[in-house]
Amino acid sequence: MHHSSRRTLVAWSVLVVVVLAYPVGVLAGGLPRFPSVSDCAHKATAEGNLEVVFGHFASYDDAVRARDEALRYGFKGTQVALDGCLRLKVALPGVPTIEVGREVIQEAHSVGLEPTLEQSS
Amino acid sequence: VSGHAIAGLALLNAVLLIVGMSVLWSLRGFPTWSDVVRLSGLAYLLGVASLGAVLVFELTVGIPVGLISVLVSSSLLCAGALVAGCAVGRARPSGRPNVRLTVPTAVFAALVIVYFEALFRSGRLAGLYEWDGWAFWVPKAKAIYYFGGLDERFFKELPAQTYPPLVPAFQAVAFHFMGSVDQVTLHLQFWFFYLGFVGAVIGLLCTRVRPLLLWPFVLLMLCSPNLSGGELNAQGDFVLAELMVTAALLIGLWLLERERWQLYAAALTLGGGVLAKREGYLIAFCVIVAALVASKLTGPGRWRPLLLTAAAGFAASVPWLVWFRVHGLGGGGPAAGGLGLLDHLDRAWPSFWLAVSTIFDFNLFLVTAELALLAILLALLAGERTLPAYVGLAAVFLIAGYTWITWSFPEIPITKDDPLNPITRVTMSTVMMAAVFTPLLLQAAWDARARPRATVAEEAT
Repeated sequence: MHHSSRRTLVAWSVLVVVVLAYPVGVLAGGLPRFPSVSDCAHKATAEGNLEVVFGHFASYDDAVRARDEALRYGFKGTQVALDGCLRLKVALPGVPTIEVGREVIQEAHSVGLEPTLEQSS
Repeated sequence: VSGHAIAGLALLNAVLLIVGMSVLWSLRGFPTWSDVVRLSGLAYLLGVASLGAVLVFELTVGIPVGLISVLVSSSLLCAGALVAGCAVGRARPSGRPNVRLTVPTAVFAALVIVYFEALFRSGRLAGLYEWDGWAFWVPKAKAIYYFGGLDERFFKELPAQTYPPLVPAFQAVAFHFMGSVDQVTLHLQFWFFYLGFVGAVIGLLCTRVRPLLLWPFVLLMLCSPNLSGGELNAQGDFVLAELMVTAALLIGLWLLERERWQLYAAALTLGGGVLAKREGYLIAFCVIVAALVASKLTGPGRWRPLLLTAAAGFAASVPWLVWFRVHGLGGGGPAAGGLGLLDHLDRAWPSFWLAVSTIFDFNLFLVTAELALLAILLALLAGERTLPAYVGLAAVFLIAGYTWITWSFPEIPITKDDPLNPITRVTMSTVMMAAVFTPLLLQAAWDARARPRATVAEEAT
């Protein structure tokens, strides 16, 4: 092989190896993960930053309807807020403990609502 | 945040590349396939500038911006460019692409590519944290996306109402191509802009500058602390710098080589720059005046082509200037821009020193400006005149411009703290110019030193 073409081959090899090393190293830890909307709903697993969530909604109208329903059944302080995934959540924030949160959820079940206890971020 | 959104962005940027390739082919032609590869970054930026100018025009005359308008506008631009290219006798590229590579060049090129791979990775899941981004750049884009055009009532509620809308227009188009208002994946659009810019710089310089002079400065620019943090921010600062630095480089090359296409391309990128941010006018003014003076100082002045280039670049922003005045948008201008400066003379020196100390701040830009200054001196010592005069004058005028910015807004404190004073962002263009011109200056110094020796050697033989 001609000397200069061998040098060019070495140069291209260096380029390709270094350029591939980074993505190969990154992908060795697993395929890239694409967060979904469920990543913005964190099930409560520990005390602190707790809220009772009456639902996540794509439209403001649906969220306001759900909030009004919760308020009508006496869940005072329920409000609409962004959930971080371009959706709106209807939530009752400031729940002091998981125990209290479970009691609120039981109460909501008794009037036909299906909230969940979540950890706000 | 999905593979579909990334594929949509890739498609949008492929469209920009095709538009730019057509435009550059009509302006300059591609004699070989190597030219096509080498100048693809510049072509991409010309695609951004030319389609951006068309989108802004469409917005100002009330044509809704969406997928259809982008595809139709791109097709018309391509068709127009191809017809113009055929009319002036541009030929098809020939030969096989031949990218010569040495081991040192391969190592530097690999580092640049790895930098962009890592940047892509961080941009894919970047949040919209920057204040300007969520306060008005992205809200404007959302308004264009949802309403199809410029809504003056909404724009009047926002800060920076009179900022030109090229960046929000592209953000809105990116939302259309992604299929939703995905303001996370949106950051990757700015990755494409930056990749195009770095590709343009490398493509323009690699045939004029030795690889070992070029690549270290590209890496220096990429790794400067103040440049490596905000390149993916969903706002106009980097787009402005990318287009303006490319325009400045093209004008600098024209001063040396007098190729007409360089000024045509500079006019397009200047137009894109003034449509990206208001500071574009200031930078364009400084660059053009520096070129006029350098051209006069170092030879027979060629003022007319430079003034026509400036006029063509400015013309791109006229529809927007008319639109925002007709619709009563305003504000955001300096409280003491003209004679008001005299009421705040105490701010003159601190404002000047702030501009200078920012550009030479190691913690912000490493030693980029110091090396550029050294390169200017070396080029002057070696007997070069035009390029060091142009770069030096542009730097002096730009520092005067940045001094004026801080001086003329009395409410802005004298500080490098970004939320309080934009000095660290507005000076980016100058530092990027420094990084881009240093290899060219060093090469000019090298060539000037080598020239007499070669002449002597020729005479001896």
